[in-house]
Amino acid sequence: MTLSNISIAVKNVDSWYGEKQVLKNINMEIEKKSITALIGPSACGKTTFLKSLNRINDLVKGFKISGIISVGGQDIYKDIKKASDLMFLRQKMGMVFQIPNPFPMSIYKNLALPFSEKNNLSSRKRIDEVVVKCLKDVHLYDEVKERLDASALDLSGGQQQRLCIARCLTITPEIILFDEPCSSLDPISTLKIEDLLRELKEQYTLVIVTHNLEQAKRIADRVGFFYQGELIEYSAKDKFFTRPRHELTQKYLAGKF
Amino acid sequence: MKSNKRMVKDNIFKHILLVSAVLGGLMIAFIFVFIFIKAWGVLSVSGLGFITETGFSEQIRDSYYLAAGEQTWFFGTKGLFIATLLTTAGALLLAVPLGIGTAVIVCEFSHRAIARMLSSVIRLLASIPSIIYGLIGLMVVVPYIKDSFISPELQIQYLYDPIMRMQLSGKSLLAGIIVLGIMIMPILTALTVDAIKAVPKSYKEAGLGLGISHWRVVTKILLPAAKSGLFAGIILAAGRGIGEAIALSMVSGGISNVPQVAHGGVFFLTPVLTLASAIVNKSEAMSVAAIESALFSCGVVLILTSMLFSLSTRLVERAVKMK
Amino acid sequence: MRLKLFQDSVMKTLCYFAAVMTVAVCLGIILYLVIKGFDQLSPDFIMTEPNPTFSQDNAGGILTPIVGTLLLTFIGTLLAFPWGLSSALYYTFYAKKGKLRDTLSTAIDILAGVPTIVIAIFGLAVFTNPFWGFLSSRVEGVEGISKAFGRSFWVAGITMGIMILPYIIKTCAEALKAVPPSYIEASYALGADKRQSLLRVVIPAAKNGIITSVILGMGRIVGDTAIVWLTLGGTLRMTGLQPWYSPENWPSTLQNTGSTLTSYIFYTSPAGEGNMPSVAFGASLVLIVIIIVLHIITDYISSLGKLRDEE
Ligand SMILES: Nc1ncnc2c1ncn2[C@@H]1O[C@H](COP(=O)(O)OP(=O)(O)OP(=O)(O)O)[C@@H](O)[C@H]1O
Ligand SMILES: [Mg+2]
Repeated sequence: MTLSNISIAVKNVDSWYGEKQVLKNINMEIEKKSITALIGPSACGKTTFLKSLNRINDLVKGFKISGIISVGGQDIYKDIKKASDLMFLRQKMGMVFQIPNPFPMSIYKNLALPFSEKNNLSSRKRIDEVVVKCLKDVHLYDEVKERLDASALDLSGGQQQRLCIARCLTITPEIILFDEPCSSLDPISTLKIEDLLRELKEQYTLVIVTHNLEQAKRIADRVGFFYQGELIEYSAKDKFFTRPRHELTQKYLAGKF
Repeated sequence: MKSNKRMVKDNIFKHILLVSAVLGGLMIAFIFVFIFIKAWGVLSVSGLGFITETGFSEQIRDSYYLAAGEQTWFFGTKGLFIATLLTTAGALLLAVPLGIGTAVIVCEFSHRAIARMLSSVIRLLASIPSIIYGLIGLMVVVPYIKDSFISPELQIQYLYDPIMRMQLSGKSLLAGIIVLGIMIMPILTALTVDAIKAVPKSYKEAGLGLGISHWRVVTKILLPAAKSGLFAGIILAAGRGIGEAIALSMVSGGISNVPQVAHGGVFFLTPVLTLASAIVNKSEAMSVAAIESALFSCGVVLILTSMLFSLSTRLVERAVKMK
Repeated sequence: MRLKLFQDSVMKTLCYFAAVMTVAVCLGIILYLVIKGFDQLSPDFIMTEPNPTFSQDNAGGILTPIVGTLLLTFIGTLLAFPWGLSSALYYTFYAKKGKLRDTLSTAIDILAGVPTIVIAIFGLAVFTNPFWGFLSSRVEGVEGISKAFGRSFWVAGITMGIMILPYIIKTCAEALKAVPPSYIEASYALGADKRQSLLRVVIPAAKNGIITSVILGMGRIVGDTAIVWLTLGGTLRMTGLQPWYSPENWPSTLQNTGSTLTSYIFYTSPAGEGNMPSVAFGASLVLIVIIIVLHIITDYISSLGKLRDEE
């Protein structure tokens, strides 16, 4: 990886919920316009890591973090002081959650709201264009074009998750964080989303947490293995799956946990 | 043998419960029927005039002093009805913005310890009896209104007003609105806090994660998501306002005037009487059958309004569930 | 963008302002009462009976109003609690789902929302029927019609019970519904019948909710003025046989009129006949203390519930 190719650089990061340490000395660099998959047993700190990247963990009482996370050269914990700078950071990073969480409003508004909030636009025409484009990007448009004003909560789980991805796209982020985006979906929706991720990779940097090793094999460029808060192994996909270096990784891949 | 005994016990238990449930049901039915029967005497004579005509205070006085045969059974509570609506609407105008604003601060923009303290103060305030609000209204709000808005000249002028004569004493629509507003504000705040807290945390995470500012997340996502709860809170507070008798009977004047827009600002200084406080004020004359029936008719109007309210919250709940 | 941020910060400031206002009003009310009422408070004020007089110096204390408040709370709760709880048990665990149950639950909702003043005239009108004469006293009216007086501790207490009944049914039913069905199933599996399951498993599990419901009901009785004013008669003192506190006179005390803290405040405020605001403030302070105590108890109980949930 060359320096100009690095989107997110993480150095010596430790973090705690209260007294309990959940991340231990994490070091990793995430490449631009690629898919980085994070795997590991439950409660090893994957979600915590992801939520530290866009500082959503700030909402949790008692959360502490040390070390450096730099995004586009900016140390997001030390350099960002003002609320508006934090907003800009988060606009650069979309996040898709484990459980689809569209807002309880119409499909259209779900996309229009973040777009117009970011761009401060009220031109209906421009908003319409963006809504349609983002829905098309996630291949949802044909399924919902007749009912853009229907509540987003009426969609199926898979559709909701694609809507949430489309919602991220409206703010044209550079990076999108996915926390087990397929864990509540059926195999067909899962495949659809995987195809979508491969397309998105052309334009966006994607970080995805997954419990599904096959999925990581199918889509990832690089894979990181977390175990009890530590990043045990982090390497290119082929190497990771064929010649894992660490004993724990081998065990995990063999399903011995 | 033993299990037989157990079955008997089980059966007796069930029947005790049944009896009390049936008695409860009968009691409720009896209350409604009784009130409607008592009200019928006046309602059948007055018809819709009961809420479209004025003159309640005078009609009560006439019924009280005339012999049984000559009494009027016609009552017009337009003044009471309007006063009830005005005080409640005014109180809501005062309390809704304050309540929602406070709730937003409590839920989203204050330190945890402060938020906890605030919500317990609010809950305490919501349980203070209305008589205390009435007392403070009478001792603080009414004199304040009198001192700052009512001059002796104004008093004299309105004693001989061509449209409607009245005695301005500070006990007024305005006093009613202020006291009622302060009274329902904590209820509204508490219910709004509950409604906002009931919104799933994931909406907030998603909103902030999209780089929307905290304030906008609150106003554009959390409050709309809480709107059925907000609406239910407003309805409940309105119900409290419409049914409030004691505090309003103390501060709002006790005369069934219809405030006149032509009076300008004095509109708010008009002494008024609401439906619920009319029952308190005139209850001493209840031994007169016509007056008793008139007061029950006020009760019927109140019951119908509260039915309307509980119906509308149910409709809102259903609409939200369907979504 | 600038403009929007500016608007937002203005709105946010307004919200802070609202919160400060709210707190100021709250604290203002409580402080005002404390300042105005504190001078009145003394063992004497609490332990002597009120005097119907126009002079504040001879106004006496609030012993009988406090006793009155306790009496009504006691009678009302004693009536409404067993009745409400057993009805709630029936509605929740026995009644078949259907029109009748729905209608009833709607009716309960509506009655719970009916202003207490309406319940108050209902009580007064019902209990002036001579049939109920034994609850108050008979009046041989003019023109030969005999009536009951319809105002007494019995009448007011029963009316209070009726007032909180729908409320108790509702809140108890909610508490009972919150008990996980698995508890009952487990109890059946152990061979218990329905009665035993309800008494030994469901009610203990719903205990906190039920107690909270009763205390909130009590709070409603303590704070209500309308029912007291109409059905207890507007007298300051106990009007039964004296001394009212000696046991042989209790029946007479209960059949006659008196006052509670709320009606005492109404009576002594400028709105009533007494116009002695300083004693009214003293009584208000005592009333608030009672309400705060009830409040603390419910808070404590619900915090118990929460702890259990977190475990
Ligand atoms: N808000 C929180 N407060 C306190 N502890 C937390 C919080 N969130 C997570 N934890 C703890 O931190 C550890 C890591 O949690 P995290 O959610 O990051 O795991 P994960 O790897 O995402 O697990 P999963 O695969 O099950 O989603 C866990 O032990 C969890 O209990
Ligand atoms: Mg996770």
